[in-house]
Amino acid sequence: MEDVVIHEGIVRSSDFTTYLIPGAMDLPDTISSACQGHEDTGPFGMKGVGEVAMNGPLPAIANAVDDACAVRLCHAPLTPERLLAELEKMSWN
Amino acid sequence: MELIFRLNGNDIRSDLPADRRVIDLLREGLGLTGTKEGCGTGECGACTILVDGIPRLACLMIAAQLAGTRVETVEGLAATPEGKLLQQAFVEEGAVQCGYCIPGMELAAAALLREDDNPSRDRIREGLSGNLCRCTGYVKIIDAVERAARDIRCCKGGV
Repeated sequence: MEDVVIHEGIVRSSDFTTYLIPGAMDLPDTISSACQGHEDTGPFGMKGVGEVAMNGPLPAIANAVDDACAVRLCHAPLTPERLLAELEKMSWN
Repeated sequence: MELIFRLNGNDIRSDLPADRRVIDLLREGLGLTGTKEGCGTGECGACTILVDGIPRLACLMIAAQLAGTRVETVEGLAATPEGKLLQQAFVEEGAVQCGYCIPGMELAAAALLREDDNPSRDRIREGLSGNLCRCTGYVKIIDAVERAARDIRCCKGGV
């Protein structure tokens, strides 16, 4: 649901009315489990979490979409509209 | 205009411009900075207060709308037995990360628990749906409200 819209250099999704973020009704229950590792470049082997967590799940879901219907979406969010547009391109070819 | 209302159990009499936003009256006029301003446009719920027991957005209300009402902010909630249990539950469950949304979350939760002392997780999600949290995935906040419901029922000699 989150998508930054930029038109002619101006950010059009600049507030919560146009840039939607998930509320309590949008997110499922989740379970977090920490896997201990060691980051050589971080102090004492530490690494920040947070946004880094996006580096795994987003490509994983994009790969799953590709696996399911051979559509490689390279722009998040992976909306139904974007997927449909790609599928239609395929059917033309 | 002269404004008379009840705030956290105390009578307030204040002389102010009728179009002053309630969030500014609370934070700047009365020094109650527990109520947060997030977006200022009624989308995020950070400024939630209870007006006659109903969650309202302090950034969208003007002071004149408070005339004759009973207002509760997080400072007032913290002084009630249920409020203490609710806040303790947020601490115990680790429901707070940056904390900015929490005063609004707690007031929305308090209003829900007064209406339904044993809400389902879906009902809690619905009750908190007007309050955005950017740090958590809401899971621990919902856990905290569930725990608070249990604790408050126990305190009242229920379950």
